[in-house]
Amino acid sequence: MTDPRDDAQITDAATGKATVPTAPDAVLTPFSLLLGAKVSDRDGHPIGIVADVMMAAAEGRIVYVALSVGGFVGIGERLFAVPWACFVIDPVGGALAVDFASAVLDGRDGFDKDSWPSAADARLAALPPGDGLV
Amino acid sequence: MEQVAGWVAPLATTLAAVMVAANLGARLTGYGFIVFGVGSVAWMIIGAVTGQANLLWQNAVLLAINALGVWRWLGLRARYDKGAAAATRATTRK
Repeated sequence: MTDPRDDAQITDAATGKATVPTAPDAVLTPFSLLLGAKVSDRDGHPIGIVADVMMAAAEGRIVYVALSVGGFVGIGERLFAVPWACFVIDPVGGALAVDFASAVLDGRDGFDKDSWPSAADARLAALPPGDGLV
Repeated sequence: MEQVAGWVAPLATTLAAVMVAANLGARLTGYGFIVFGVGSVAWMIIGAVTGQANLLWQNAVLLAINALGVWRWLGLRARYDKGAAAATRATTRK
Protein backbone atom coordinates (compact mmCIF):
# COMPACT_ATOMS: atom_id res chain seq x y z
CA MET A 1 0.00 0.00 0.00
CA THR A 2 1.24 3.46 -0.86
CA ASP A 3 0.41 6.60 1.01
CA PRO A 4 -0.19 9.40 -1.52
CA ARG A 5 1.31 11.82 0.97
CA ASP A 6 4.67 10.25 0.17
CA ASP A 7 4.58 11.73 -3.33
CA ALA A 8 5.17 15.44 -2.96
CA GLN A 9 3.39 17.65 -5.47
CA ILE A 10 5.80 20.10 -7.00
CA THR A 11 4.62 22.98 -9.14
CA ASP A 12 6.93 25.10 -11.22
CA ALA A 13 6.61 28.59 -9.75
CA ALA A 14 7.37 30.28 -13.04
CA THR A 15 5.06 28.38 -15.34
CA GLY A 16 2.55 27.05 -12.84
CA LYS A 17 2.84 23.69 -14.53
CA ALA A 18 2.85 20.58 -12.45
CA THR A 19 5.94 18.47 -12.42
CA VAL A 20 4.54 15.37 -10.76
CA PRO A 21 5.27 12.70 -9.96
CA THR A 22 8.92 13.39 -9.26
CA ALA A 23 9.92 9.87 -8.36
CA PRO A 24 11.12 8.02 -11.46
CA ASP A 25 10.09 4.74 -9.90
CA ALA A 26 6.52 5.90 -9.13
CA VAL A 27 3.91 3.22 -9.70
CA LEU A 28 1.37 4.50 -12.21
CA THR A 29 -2.30 3.83 -11.56
CA PRO A 30 -5.04 4.41 -14.15
CA PHE A 31 -7.48 7.11 -13.07
CA SER A 32 -10.38 4.92 -14.17
CA LEU A 33 -9.47 2.50 -11.40
CA LEU A 34 -10.72 5.06 -8.89
CA LEU A 35 -14.12 5.84 -10.36
CA GLY A 36 -16.76 3.64 -8.79
CA ALA A 37 -14.13 1.91 -6.66
CA LYS A 38 -15.15 0.42 -3.35
CA VAL A 39 -13.55 2.10 -0.36
CA SER A 40 -12.76 0.52 2.98
CA ASP A 41 -12.12 2.25 6.27
CA ARG A 42 -8.92 1.85 8.27
CA ASP A 43 -10.22 -1.38 9.77
CA GLY A 44 -11.05 -2.90 6.41
CA HIS A 45 -14.80 -2.40 6.71
CA PRO A 46 -16.64 -1.23 3.58
CA ILE A 47 -17.42 2.48 3.89
CA GLY A 48 -18.59 3.55 0.43
CA ILE A 49 -17.73 3.99 -3.21
CA VAL A 50 -16.00 6.69 -5.19
CA ALA A 51 -18.67 8.81 -6.88
CA ASP A 52 -16.13 11.05 -8.54
CA VAL A 53 -12.73 12.63 -8.10
CA MET A 54 -12.21 16.39 -8.08
CA MET A 55 -8.79 17.53 -9.08
CA ALA A 56 -6.80 20.70 -9.54
CA ALA A 57 -5.94 19.79 -13.10
CA ALA A 58 -3.48 22.60 -13.66
CA GLU A 59 -1.50 21.52 -10.62
CA GLY A 60 -1.78 17.84 -11.36
CA ARG A 61 -3.20 16.94 -8.00
CA ILE A 62 -6.33 15.39 -6.61
CA VAL A 63 -8.15 17.72 -4.19
CA TYR A 64 -10.85 15.43 -2.93
CA VAL A 65 -12.72 12.25 -3.59
CA ALA A 66 -16.51 12.50 -3.60
CA LEU A 67 -17.24 9.49 -1.44
CA SER A 68 -20.73 8.03 -1.61
CA VAL A 69 -21.77 6.51 1.71
CA GLY A 70 -24.90 4.45 2.22
CA GLY A 71 -27.99 4.27 0.06
CA PHE A 72 -28.71 2.13 -2.98
CA VAL A 73 -27.54 3.24 -6.44
CA GLY A 74 -27.50 6.79 -5.19
CA ILE A 75 -30.86 6.76 -3.42
CA GLY A 76 -30.39 7.78 0.20
CA GLU A 77 -26.64 8.19 -0.14
CA ARG A 78 -24.53 10.87 1.54
CA LEU A 79 -21.59 12.43 -0.28
CA PHE A 80 -18.41 13.50 1.51
CA ALA A 81 -15.49 15.50 0.12
CA VAL A 82 -12.69 13.34 1.49
CA PRO A 83 -9.19 14.81 1.10
CA TRP A 84 -6.97 12.71 -1.14
CA ALA A 85 -4.41 12.73 1.67
CA CYS A 86 -6.78 10.51 3.70
CA PHE A 87 -6.54 7.73 1.14
CA VAL A 88 -4.24 4.79 1.03
CA ILE A 89 -4.18 2.97 -2.29
CA ASP A 90 -2.73 -0.25 -3.54
CA PRO A 91 -1.47 1.10 -6.88
CA VAL A 92 -1.40 -2.32 -8.49
CA GLY A 93 -4.53 -4.02 -7.21
CA GLY A 94 -6.43 -0.78 -6.84
CA ALA A 95 -7.67 -1.47 -3.31
CA LEU A 96 -8.66 1.86 -1.84
CA ALA A 97 -9.00 2.71 1.84
CA VAL A 98 -9.32 5.77 4.03
CA ASP A 99 -7.15 6.15 7.10
CA PHE A 100 -10.03 6.76 9.50
CA ALA A 101 -12.79 4.66 10.97
CA SER A 102 -16.17 4.62 9.24
CA ALA A 103 -17.70 5.81 12.52
CA VAL A 104 -16.15 9.22 11.84
CA LEU A 105 -18.89 9.79 9.26
CA ASP A 106 -21.73 8.56 11.44
CA GLY A 107 -24.32 11.22 12.06
CA ARG A 108 -22.69 13.68 9.72
CA ASP A 109 -24.50 15.23 6.81
CA GLY A 110 -22.88 14.95 3.43
CA PHE A 111 -22.42 17.91 1.15
CA ASP A 112 -25.08 19.38 -1.11
CA LYS A 113 -25.37 17.04 -4.09
CA ASP A 114 -26.39 19.85 -6.39
CA SER A 115 -23.50 22.10 -5.44
CA TRP A 116 -20.30 20.31 -4.65
CA PRO A 117 -17.74 22.04 -2.41
CA SER A 118 -14.71 23.83 -3.81
CA ALA A 119 -12.44 22.27 -1.20
CA ALA A 120 -12.11 19.07 0.76
CA ASP A 121 -14.04 18.62 4.00
CA ALA A 122 -12.01 20.56 6.56
CA ARG A 123 -13.19 18.28 9.38
CA LEU A 124 -11.73 15.25 7.63
CA ALA A 125 -8.61 17.13 6.60
CA ALA A 126 -8.01 17.95 10.26
CA LEU A 127 -8.00 14.32 11.31
CA PRO A 128 -4.54 13.17 12.30
CA PRO A 129 -3.12 10.75 9.71
CA GLY A 130 -3.99 7.15 10.50
CA ASP A 131 -6.15 8.13 13.40
CA GLY A 132 -9.90 8.68 13.39
CA LEU A 133 -12.12 10.15 16.02
CA VAL A 134 -12.86 6.78 17.60
CA MET B 1 -49.58 -3.96 -33.36
CA GLU B 2 -47.94 -7.35 -33.27
CA GLN B 3 -46.32 -6.72 -36.63
CA VAL B 4 -44.93 -3.36 -35.50
CA ALA B 5 -43.70 -4.82 -32.23
CA GLY B 6 -42.10 -7.66 -34.17
CA TRP B 7 -39.85 -5.14 -35.91
CA VAL B 8 -39.37 -2.68 -33.05
CA ALA B 9 -38.31 -5.32 -30.53
CA PRO B 10 -35.21 -6.69 -32.29
CA LEU B 11 -34.23 -3.33 -33.79
CA ALA B 12 -34.48 -1.47 -30.48
CA THR B 13 -32.67 -4.21 -28.59
CA THR B 14 -29.85 -4.29 -31.13
CA LEU B 15 -29.50 -0.51 -31.24
CA ALA B 16 -29.52 -0.30 -27.45
CA ALA B 17 -26.87 -2.98 -27.14
CA VAL B 18 -24.64 -1.02 -29.53
CA MET B 19 -25.22 2.23 -27.61
CA VAL B 20 -24.36 0.70 -24.26
CA ALA B 21 -21.48 -1.42 -25.53
CA ALA B 22 -19.90 1.58 -27.28
CA ASN B 23 -19.45 3.32 -23.91
CA LEU B 24 -19.66 6.78 -25.48
CA GLY B 25 -20.38 8.59 -22.25
CA ALA B 26 -22.90 8.59 -19.44
CA ARG B 27 -25.63 10.38 -21.38
CA LEU B 28 -25.58 8.09 -24.42
CA THR B 29 -25.39 5.03 -22.19
CA GLY B 30 -28.46 6.33 -20.37
CA TYR B 31 -30.29 6.82 -23.66
CA GLY B 32 -29.26 3.28 -24.53
CA PHE B 33 -31.19 2.01 -21.52
CA ILE B 34 -34.24 3.99 -22.67
CA VAL B 35 -34.00 2.26 -26.05
CA PHE B 36 -33.56 -1.06 -24.24
CA GLY B 37 -36.79 -0.23 -22.41
CA VAL B 38 -38.60 0.39 -25.70
CA GLY B 39 -37.37 -3.00 -26.86
CA SER B 40 -38.55 -4.66 -23.66
CA VAL B 41 -42.04 -3.18 -24.06
CA ALA B 42 -42.16 -4.43 -27.64
CA TRP B 43 -41.06 -7.91 -26.56
CA MET B 44 -43.72 -7.83 -23.84
CA ILE B 45 -46.37 -7.02 -26.44
CA ILE B 46 -45.20 -9.93 -28.55
CA GLY B 47 -45.21 -12.17 -25.51
CA ALA B 48 -48.72 -11.12 -24.55
CA VAL B 49 -50.18 -11.40 -28.05
CA THR B 50 -48.61 -14.77 -28.78
CA GLY B 51 -49.26 -16.20 -25.33
CA GLN B 52 -45.60 -16.56 -24.40
CA ALA B 53 -45.69 -15.85 -20.67
CA ASN B 54 -41.97 -16.48 -20.26
CA LEU B 55 -41.14 -13.80 -22.84
CA LEU B 56 -43.59 -11.41 -21.23
CA TRP B 57 -42.28 -11.79 -17.70
CA GLN B 58 -38.63 -11.91 -18.66
CA ASN B 59 -39.00 -8.55 -20.35
CA ALA B 60 -41.05 -7.14 -17.51
CA VAL B 61 -38.05 -7.83 -15.28
CA LEU B 62 -35.68 -6.41 -17.89
CA LEU B 63 -37.83 -3.29 -18.12
CA ALA B 64 -37.35 -2.73 -14.39
CA ILE B 65 -33.61 -3.26 -14.75
CA ASN B 66 -33.54 -0.84 -17.68
CA ALA B 67 -35.33 1.73 -15.54
CA LEU B 68 -32.53 1.32 -12.99
CA GLY B 69 -30.02 1.88 -15.78
CA VAL B 70 -31.78 5.08 -16.83
CA TRP B 71 -31.69 6.35 -13.25
CA ARG B 72 -28.06 5.32 -12.84
CA TRP B 73 -26.81 7.01 -16.02
CA LEU B 74 -29.23 9.86 -16.68
CA GLY B 75 -30.46 10.63 -13.17
CA LEU B 76 -27.67 9.99 -10.70
CA ARG B 77 -24.75 10.61 -13.04
CA ALA B 78 -26.37 13.79 -14.37
CA ARG B 79 -26.78 15.03 -10.79
CA TYR B 80 -23.13 14.26 -10.04
CA ASP B 81 -22.12 16.15 -13.16
CA LYS B 82 -24.29 19.12 -12.21
CA GLY B 83 -22.89 19.24 -8.68
CA ALA B 84 -19.29 18.88 -9.85
CA ALA B 85 -19.83 21.59 -12.46
CA ALA B 86 -20.94 23.94 -9.67
CA ALA B 87 -17.61 23.34 -7.93
CA THR B 88 -15.79 24.04 -11.17
CA ARG B 89 -17.69 27.32 -11.62
CA ALA B 90 -17.05 28.34 -8.02
CA THR B 91 -13.32 27.76 -8.30
CA THR B 92 -13.06 29.35 -11.73
CA ARG B 93 -14.29 32.67 -10.31
CA LYS B 94 -11.48 32.78 -7.73
